Amino acid sequence: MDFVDLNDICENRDPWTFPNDWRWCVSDRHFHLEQISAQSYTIANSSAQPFKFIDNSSMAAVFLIGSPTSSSIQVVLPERPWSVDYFDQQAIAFSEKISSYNELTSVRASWDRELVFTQTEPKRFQGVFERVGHFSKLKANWDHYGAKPIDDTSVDQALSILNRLLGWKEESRMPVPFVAPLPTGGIQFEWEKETRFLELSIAPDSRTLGFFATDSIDDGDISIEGLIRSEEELIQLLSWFVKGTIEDVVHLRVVGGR
Amino acid sequence: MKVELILDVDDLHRRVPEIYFNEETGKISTAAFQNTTGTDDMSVDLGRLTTPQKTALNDPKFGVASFKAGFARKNDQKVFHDPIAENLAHSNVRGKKTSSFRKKLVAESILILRPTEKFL
Repeated sequence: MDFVDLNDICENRDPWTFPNDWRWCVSDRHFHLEQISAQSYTIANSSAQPFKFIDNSSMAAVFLIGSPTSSSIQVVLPERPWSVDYFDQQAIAFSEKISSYNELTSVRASWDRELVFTQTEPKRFQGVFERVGHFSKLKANWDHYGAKPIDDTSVDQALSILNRLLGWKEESRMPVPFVAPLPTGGIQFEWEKETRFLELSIAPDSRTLGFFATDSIDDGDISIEGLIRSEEELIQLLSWFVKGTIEDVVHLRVVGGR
Repeated sequence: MKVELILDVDDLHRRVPEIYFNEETGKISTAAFQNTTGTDDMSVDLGRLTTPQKTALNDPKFGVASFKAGFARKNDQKVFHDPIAENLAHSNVRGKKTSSFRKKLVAESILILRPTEKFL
């Protein structure tokens, strides 16, 4: 399967047209999907370069995996949603065929409006996806202590973390996180199980991901706190939470001792 | 405005939006105990000068958590009364709110008022 080079398209900025009634346009780094007639086509696959789409009816962001070079739009559907990063954006492939424009709008991932997902995420995660989306509704001073509105970048990153979690091989062992907006405009994840507690905090704008992990061991509590510098470190922390010992991640940084 | 001396045994009230209540664990989020953005201060009310309902602004979307001033002081925080015109009970807990300290505050706090309406 051939794929359009996104950089080439962005350079010439000409609308790129489907053979049928779907039309792709490009502005800046966003692809716009337009419907020219009433016919509908499937527009998802799991093996293509990811593109960020904009739903023209609502101007909401739609994250899908697309293959705009195929005249028939081959579809290789994933068994479950998965995600990849592109231009620091999150793309999600859905395991459900999308065959009409109405369906496209129903899977829009828009956090400044209503956030609606398909039924393909594990059901246990749907609530947390929606909750993150709703954080965008929080207005300045939402806590009456001067909190800032939740930053769009924070919402992006929170959704990205959730999707990485969905794609993680140990996902089924990980509890659904509790997510909370931060007065700084960031978002925080919390997991708690028995003696273990893991907190991830997204700082607004900076894309910094902080962590705090604590566990009780034989002779007291031990805590570590710091910044996550790579996806590998994130996986190390998640792995610790489901099956490891705090010693597995203590090298990340110790702030509290036994 | 008269400034009160806050004793270690004094209760401090912190307003907590419903969105910070974790129904699964029955606990509140550590995010409830953050400093006001750009400052080293976390606003609280001196319990003996107010009521939980006033701290919650009589808004059913907010609850109130209470902890002892002495607990904050034992964790390197300064606690002082800072009355303002619209809230004579207003006080500050000054100091860095590390994740570790916020987690301890969650464990230490007592919920004295629960929200009765959803925030979102």
